[in-house]
Amino acid sequence: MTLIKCKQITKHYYRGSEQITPLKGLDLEIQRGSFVALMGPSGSGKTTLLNLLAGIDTVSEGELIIDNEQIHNFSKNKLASWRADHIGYIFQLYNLVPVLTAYENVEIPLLLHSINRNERHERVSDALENVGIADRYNHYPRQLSGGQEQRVAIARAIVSNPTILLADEPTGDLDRETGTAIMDLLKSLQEKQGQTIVMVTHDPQTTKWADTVLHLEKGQLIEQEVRS
Amino acid sequence: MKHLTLLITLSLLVSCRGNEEQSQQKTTNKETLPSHFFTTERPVDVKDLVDVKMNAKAGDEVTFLARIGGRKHGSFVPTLAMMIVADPNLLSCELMACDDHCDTPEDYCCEDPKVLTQGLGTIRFMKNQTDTYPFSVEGLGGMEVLKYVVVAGKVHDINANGLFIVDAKKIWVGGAPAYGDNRAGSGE
Amino acid sequence: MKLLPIEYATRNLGRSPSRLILTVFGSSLVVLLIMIAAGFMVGMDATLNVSGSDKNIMLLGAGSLESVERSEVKMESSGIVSSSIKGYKTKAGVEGVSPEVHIQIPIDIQGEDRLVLIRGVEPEAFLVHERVEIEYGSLPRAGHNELLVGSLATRTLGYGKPKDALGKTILLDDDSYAITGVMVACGGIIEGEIWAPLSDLLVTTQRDTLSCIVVAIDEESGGTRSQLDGFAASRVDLELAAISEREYYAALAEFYKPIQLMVVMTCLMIAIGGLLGGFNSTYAAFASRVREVGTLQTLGYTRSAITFSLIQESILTASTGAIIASTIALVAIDGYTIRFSMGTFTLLITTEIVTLGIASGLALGVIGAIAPVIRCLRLPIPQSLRASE
Ligand SMILES: Nc1ncnc2c1ncn2[C@@H]1O[C@H](COP(=O)(O)OP(=O)(O)OP(=O)(O)O)[C@@H](O)[C@H]1O
Ligand SMILES: [Mg+2]
Repeated sequence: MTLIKCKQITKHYYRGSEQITPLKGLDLEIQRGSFVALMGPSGSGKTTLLNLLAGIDTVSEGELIIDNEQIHNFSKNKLASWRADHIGYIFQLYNLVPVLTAYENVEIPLLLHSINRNERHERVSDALENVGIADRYNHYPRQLSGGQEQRVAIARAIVSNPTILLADEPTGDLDRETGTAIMDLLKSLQEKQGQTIVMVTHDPQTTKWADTVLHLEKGQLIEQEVRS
Repeated sequence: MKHLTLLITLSLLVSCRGNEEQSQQKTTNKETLPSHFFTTERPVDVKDLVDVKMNAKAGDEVTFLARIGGRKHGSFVPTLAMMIVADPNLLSCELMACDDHCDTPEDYCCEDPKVLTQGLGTIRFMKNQTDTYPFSVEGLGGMEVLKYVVVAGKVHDINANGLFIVDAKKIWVGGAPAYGDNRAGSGE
Repeated sequence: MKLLPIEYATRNLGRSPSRLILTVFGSSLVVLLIMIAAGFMVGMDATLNVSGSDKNIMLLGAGSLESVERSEVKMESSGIVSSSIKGYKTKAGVEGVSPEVHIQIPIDIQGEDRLVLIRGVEPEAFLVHERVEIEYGSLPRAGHNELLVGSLATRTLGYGKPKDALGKTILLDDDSYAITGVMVACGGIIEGEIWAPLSDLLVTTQRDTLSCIVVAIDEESGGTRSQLDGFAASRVDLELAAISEREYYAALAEFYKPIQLMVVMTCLMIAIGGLLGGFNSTYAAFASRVREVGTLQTLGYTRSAITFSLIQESILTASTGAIIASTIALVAIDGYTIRFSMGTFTLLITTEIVTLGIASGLALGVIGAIAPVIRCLRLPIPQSLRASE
């Protein structure tokens, strides 16, 4: 079942009078429950595409349909609440809020939903459990290692049961061993909960966890490889 | 520091301007004296105030030349038909060109206070035997500070300390002198 | 709109303690100075306003309407006034015509000469200045070199509590005087004065003139202001001019306007320094959070929600400063006396001024947040996510 549908997506940026077009007429479909790895050389438009899917950036031309909704027509505020409902975003540098504990960081997205305190507690605990960091719930980000921080970040991304989990080089800042653990964790989310994952990566090694690998070059999809 | 000085100067200027406005407002007056008090015919050969004051007694009929003024404020009483006049030989501020340290031109602050007191008189405009008209006479019949007047009237009270109250019967109002021409406007 | 938890705002305060201290210091400085300037104006106005009555007409030397201390009035004038005019207050045989001497005498207080206004009075003064009340002790007796001291003047004299002044002696021009009483006058300028029996003060200062005669007119028995104007104009031999107490103190207030302005300007200039310092550190505190704000937006928080939280944070800092400032103002500034050559004033920190202080703290918080909020939210989300920490 198609979850994400990109129709002739083009994105322009303007740097002064110069026009930059990181995405040119991109067509793409992503199935629900799949684990997609986005590959491509630097500057090929991977992050740009991910940001469009996340609803933190808007297309210049074309249509972007996610879960039967025409995202490209949404206003800024509508996009914000849509993100809260549908998107979990994992950053390369974790981006945890330094003044909040692991628990509170994970709780932050839930505050955007009308959920009572008890259920919130349950869901935050579940998410922390899920990523295997429940024992560190009371720690501040500076008291955690990179891998632990990324686990908290993943918990934060999954706590509100997003439709899509987006990750921009989630293991880019981690050593191989920790990276592997994080990839295993993502894979298990896909397998156990049917979570759709779109992940940008530079590292061909990490593509082995994905079931679909997309190759971008100069803003266009040049190869789509589906593994079973 | 410069700014402070500037601000203080500005605020002083503003407060000075406030004073001017006040004194201008005083000259508007609806009530007026009966016309019999005023004359346009100046009596001839009148003596100066001091020369008359020297020999006067209560009840005397007197005629003398003087100038309105003698107090830096309140030469005209605000609510009574009463004013202070000064002998023409006394020098008010504007005739001495010493305005810098005088508050008003009709100030006689450069004169010796004792001499000044001996040269002053109080002119009253009486409604009847006992009462003064209950309004200021400033501006009436052209009466203004610094102007020459010839007053004819009766001495109500006088003493050696300088008291000299004259109830006016007729008054001639002249002009104001100028610096360097002390008798201009006296009608002489 | 779903808001960020308040903990986000409060915990962010502790993020950089040195910046927090700087911001709190800056805002408390600004608020304190605003309160001092306001307290100074209120205190001075209060003193001058309660000092003048319309019913009390001062007869001063004709040339010295603006300064009772420079004024000289012949001694015999007092008797002439009470016998020639009618319609002044009387009570139990005391007439409402008060001959007075106002004189500044330097008094040695712990090795420092302080100018204090001494008023020489007769018993009539207590009828004329009806607000004067003895708070402690008793009236000074004439011929005994005794003094009545205003409650503010006791501070000028260096006594901790007004009551401590009782029984102490001070030297006026080499004559020793004993303090027998402390007076209050509803906060009026008299509270900064010392009163002595007129005859004793004349002997001490070797003076033979009065400074003024204050007449308390009684309108019910036909007393009028214009009667006194007429008296002053007709008795040129006494060289008097009439002015109501209210007018006199209004003119005095006018005289103090430039000083008020200077105090306010000085406060303002230091305050601007504090303001810029505070704003600068707030700005720096927020500037490093561009990426974090981008992350919160990515999670689904709207720009308004984030703006609200950042303003909350800035208001928390500024109002902490305002509370510190109010405390300092109430504890250390309220009641602080300032002495000028013409009187003693108290800095009054009223409820209104505390309200003003807190309100300006809140305003500072909002204003101080504007630039950093713009800085944090100006960039599109993808770009702010790329910002370095
Ligand atoms: N906000 C922007 N303004 C101008 N140009 C931009 C902007 N965002 C991205 N670009 C440009 O678009 C192109 C694609 O950028 P993008 O970040 O999508 O690349 P990427 O594939 O993620 O590269 P990398 O592997 O280095 O992360 C680049 O040339 C980049 O400079
Ligand atoms: Mg990228």
